[in-house]
Amino acid sequence: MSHSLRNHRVGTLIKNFQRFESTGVSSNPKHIKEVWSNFQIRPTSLKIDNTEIKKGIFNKVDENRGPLSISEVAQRLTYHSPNEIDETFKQAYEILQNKANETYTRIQSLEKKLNQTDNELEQLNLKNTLDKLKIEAEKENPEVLYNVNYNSSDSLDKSHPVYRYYLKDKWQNQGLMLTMQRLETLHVIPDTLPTFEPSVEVKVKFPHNKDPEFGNWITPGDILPAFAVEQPPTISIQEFDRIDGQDLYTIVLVNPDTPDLVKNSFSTTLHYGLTNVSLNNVDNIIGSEKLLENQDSIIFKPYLPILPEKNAGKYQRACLWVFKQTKELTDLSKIEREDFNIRSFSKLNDLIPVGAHVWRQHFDRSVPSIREKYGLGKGRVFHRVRGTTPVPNPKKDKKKEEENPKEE
Amino acid sequence: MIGGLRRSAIRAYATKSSPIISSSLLLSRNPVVTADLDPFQSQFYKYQQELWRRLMWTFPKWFYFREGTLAEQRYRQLNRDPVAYNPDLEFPRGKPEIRHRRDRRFKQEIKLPKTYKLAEDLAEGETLPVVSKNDLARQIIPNSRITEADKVNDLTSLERKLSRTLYLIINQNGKWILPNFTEQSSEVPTALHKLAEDGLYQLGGEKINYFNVSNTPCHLHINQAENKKEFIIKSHILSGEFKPQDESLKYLWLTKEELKDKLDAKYYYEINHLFSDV
Amino acid sequence: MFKGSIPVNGSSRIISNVINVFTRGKRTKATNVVNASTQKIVNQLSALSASRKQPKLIRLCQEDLIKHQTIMNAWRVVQRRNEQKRNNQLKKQYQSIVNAMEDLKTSHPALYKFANYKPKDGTRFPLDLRMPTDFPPNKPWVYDYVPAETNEKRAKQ
Repeated sequence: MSHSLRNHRVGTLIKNFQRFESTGVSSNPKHIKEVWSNFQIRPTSLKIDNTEIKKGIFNKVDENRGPLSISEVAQRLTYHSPNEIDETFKQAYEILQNKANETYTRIQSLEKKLNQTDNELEQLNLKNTLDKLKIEAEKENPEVLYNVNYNSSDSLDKSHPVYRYYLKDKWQNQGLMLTMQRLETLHVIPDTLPTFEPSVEVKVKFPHNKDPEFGNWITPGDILPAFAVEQPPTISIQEFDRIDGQDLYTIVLVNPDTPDLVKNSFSTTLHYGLTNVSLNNVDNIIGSEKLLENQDSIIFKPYLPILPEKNAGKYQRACLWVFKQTKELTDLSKIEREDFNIRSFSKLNDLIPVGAHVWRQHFDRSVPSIREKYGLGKGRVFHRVRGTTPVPNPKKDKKKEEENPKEE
Repeated sequence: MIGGLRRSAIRAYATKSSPIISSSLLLSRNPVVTADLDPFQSQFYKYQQELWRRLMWTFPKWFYFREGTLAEQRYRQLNRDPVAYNPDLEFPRGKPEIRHRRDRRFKQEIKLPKTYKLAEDLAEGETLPVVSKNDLARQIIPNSRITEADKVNDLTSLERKLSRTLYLIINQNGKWILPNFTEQSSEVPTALHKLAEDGLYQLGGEKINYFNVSNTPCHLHINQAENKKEFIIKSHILSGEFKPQDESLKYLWLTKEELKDKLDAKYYYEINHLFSDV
Repeated sequence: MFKGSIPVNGSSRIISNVINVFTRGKRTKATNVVNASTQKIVNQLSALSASRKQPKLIRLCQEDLIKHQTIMNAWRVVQRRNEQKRNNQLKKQYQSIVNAMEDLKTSHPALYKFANYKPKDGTRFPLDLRMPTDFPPNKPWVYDYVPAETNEKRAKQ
């Protein structure tokens, strides 16, 4: 009995094997070939834009002209490629492309399946597998490698999963570690929020600055002068997972170092609040355009630069928090700037912190003029040494301090 | 009536349930030379070799050839100095950087003086001197990886396809199979590997040096046509001649791919994982 | 200074010799001489030392770096594929051993015992097994093997 059973099993195995072999060819008449030079089923963003550089990669580097990636002509001519690199590259490309051909054949059959199903869960699963397969098919493409390594990350096509995969890799190896280190050493964690799991890359720049030192993306933890932060910042929020449609975000900029004379301590002030900002993988920058377009719907607290008063601590931290919303929020404009409690704010509105950024500011000579522009008055001047006791009568003191500078 | 039915049923069951236990021999000849590389592999090794040579330290000539000797002179004749840097000349492809008579931007190619003469070195009218096989100065030419047996495609030779593993199959009743041996007397059971060993001696003579991998069978093939359980024993032939004792025996030494053509498709599919790819 | 002004002939050589003698800080021959055994050691050490023998570092341009990365990627893919194939085959081989032994256990316990026997003297591995070489030996196969202990071998089991 058992023998015949086993034999039967072997027989079916062979049948399956043969069927697999035969259907492998017949059911896919359009077996994909040379997929990496086929831009009908793939986006053109997977191509190297510079045709000269592309020639240098796929053909031999021209000895009389040298590699085009070296900008200096004299240096370019002295370059010597290693022997045998081109012949080996050709074969390597062939092998990798054949692997990609197979993956794309699978991708096409899955896409067909995706078009046929109505089940949402199945669709989601299929989309996730498709993303994985697309990464697998394009990860080793030399053109993609070139774009990732030598083009700026702003110019990459973030709608394609392979670029997001490489950007995420880059971010996790540098940007993420740097940000977390700055957030922790500057005690943004836990002074504002206890902790969080970063999943998006947050970048900030102040485009009104002509000086590239302040006009480019700022490094977390930088000390910025008051004139550099005069206008609202441009914020880029890069998601690495695929977003179908749009996701809503809330962004707040808080200063946890506002002097609180009554308690002889510090309080948190809300300086900027955006909510219901809809973003996706590609449309991921909150710049002046976006702000002007939907000013009323997304700004719940207009931008007020952090302008530290004289001797108010060594520096004040500007903590920018990015939250993912679980629902659309309304009625946030009632929130006061002073004594802002970011923890209860995020809890009340079911916000999930996904990213953060921080920079520092202290009093400098550009502070008074900008205070004036925003109608804040001249600002207090504190004693250089911080007292040990709370100020007994805060209201009187406040008045006095307001009067004093005027008299001077 | 009922009893008769039962008896016949038992008899049928009894004949079916006692298959003959036999042992098959998977005798292989291991590769004599290293495996053939596929084109990408050999090209990759070539590339790595180039990188390695490019990064190699300069050959310390002074250590091997003493200054002023005849050998040094011969070495210098063969290895010309590279073009040195001259401030009066223009070097569009980069200034040469000579250290110890080597341009350190490139790999160093060293030619050593030969101890023998080649046909292209001869002057006109000269003939190649006869060199004895024991002459230490003779040119070393490695043996060819392709043997005579490959050229005439002698499938029964142990010298064919030196880079591959060969397996022995024999023809039985017009069918190619692995040699299969059944026990003759069943008073004392013979171990499976012993059965296979005795069978091999009967089949190919006793002048065979073989290595039995294990007493454990590596596969069980159920031969329903002959009601047999065939336990396959793995063995390597190390030296000696496989000389069929029976003149009419047809046998072949084949690689995995060739076995696919000769063996029954179902049979091959069942046991193909036992064969080596190299 | 003298290079351009004085023609290269006998007189210039004399002058340059004179200059050599009077150059300050220049090592003269007397201090340079080492005895033969020291020279030998210096030679030997210099063969080992990296001084002036190291080539220039390879600095690949962007194009070639991408090519190199692609080559290494392909190599990794090929290696992984081969490894996977080998592992699959080994798994199948193991499974078929298990199947065979399970069957033997029930169908013929005596043979099962024989099949499980493992000699413990450690002499099983044949010393005649030959490692593959790049090129074959003069005689690719040894035909004239004479079994010395055939009878002994037979008596053993």
